[in-house]
Amino acid sequence: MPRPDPLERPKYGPGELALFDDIVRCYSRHVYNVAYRLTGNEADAKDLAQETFLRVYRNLRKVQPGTPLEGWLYRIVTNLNIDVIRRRSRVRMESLDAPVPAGDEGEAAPRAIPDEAPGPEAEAIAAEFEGQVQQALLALPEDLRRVVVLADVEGFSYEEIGEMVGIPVGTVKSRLHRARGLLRERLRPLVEGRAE
Amino acid sequence: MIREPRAQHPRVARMLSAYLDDELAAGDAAAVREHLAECPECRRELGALRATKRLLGALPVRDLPTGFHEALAARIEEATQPAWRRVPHTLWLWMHRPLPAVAVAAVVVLLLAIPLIRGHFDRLHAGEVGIDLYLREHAATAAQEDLLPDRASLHLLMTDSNLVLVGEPARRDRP
Repeated sequence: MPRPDPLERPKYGPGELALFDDIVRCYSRHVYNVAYRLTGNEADAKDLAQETFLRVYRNLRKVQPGTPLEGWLYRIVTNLNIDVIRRRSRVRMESLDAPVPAGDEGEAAPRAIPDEAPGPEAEAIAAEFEGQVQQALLALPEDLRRVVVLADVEGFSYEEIGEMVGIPVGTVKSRLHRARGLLRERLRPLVEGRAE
Repeated sequence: MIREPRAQHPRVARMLSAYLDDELAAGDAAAVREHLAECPECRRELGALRATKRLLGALPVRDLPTGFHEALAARIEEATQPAWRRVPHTLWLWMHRPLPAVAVAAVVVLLLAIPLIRGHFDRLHAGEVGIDLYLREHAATAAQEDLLPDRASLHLLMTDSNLVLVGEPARRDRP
């Protein structure tokens, strides 16, 4: 049997290419959304999402058609994000003890996202809310951030998160509890307005 | 056994997040419910955790940036090129179109070599003239002084900047 040329690009048939297109069409928005919540900016999120699908393309023959791929995709995207953070020193991890800048009335006033274009009032409020929550997410340590994004943004169970991240369910539980506690403190004005 | 609410407080507080997610075992969930009925502090904490969870769940799903799929297709195309296609362009030219590359390389080699070859011949020519003049000059001196009758058999070694008679110690060895 002839040995495959290691330099040869994978030659996929029409069925395999159609499967890849289906995967991209089905999951790209969710993968991008998770990537955005983990990185907080469009350029890094796009890069992360594309790199994730490139990994999928390279391993397409391992994919069984019809099997749910969320776990695999989110595992790739969260692990890639760790690599990106380690590689890029420009990604600044804010100290959780750092005081949040005070607003006019002395209340916590998280920074606005600078790339949000001003629009109608409702959109501006929504953008401000999103910016505050996103900044609070980015202020979390990476291990807490990915657990809380997978749980509260994407809605996965503890068991699913444990499999994706490669940690026991008990660790998911404790990380999520810590993450929510820290977010609650940073988002106190928003939280108090919504607490029952 | 009736448990003291305050004694249960730290343990229950750690379980509130999992209680909110319905991820506790039945026994633990019952214990939390029992404690919540008597502890306003934990009820407030649970409400704050629930509000925090809802804040995250209310984040909008981001739309894909324009051109995402096209950029992905281009990235896959580039990343899955065979390794030899990813080499620098000059090297790729060598491998893909050898004849033009060889012609270009030959011209470059010639342009570099001509001055070197010319310089080499110039030095040889200058050496020949130098030896000739040297022999003539010293032959005339020897004829006048007649100190060395076998002067005609002198052998000369010459470098660009030094002229040494055979049998004579090198200049660097002289005291």
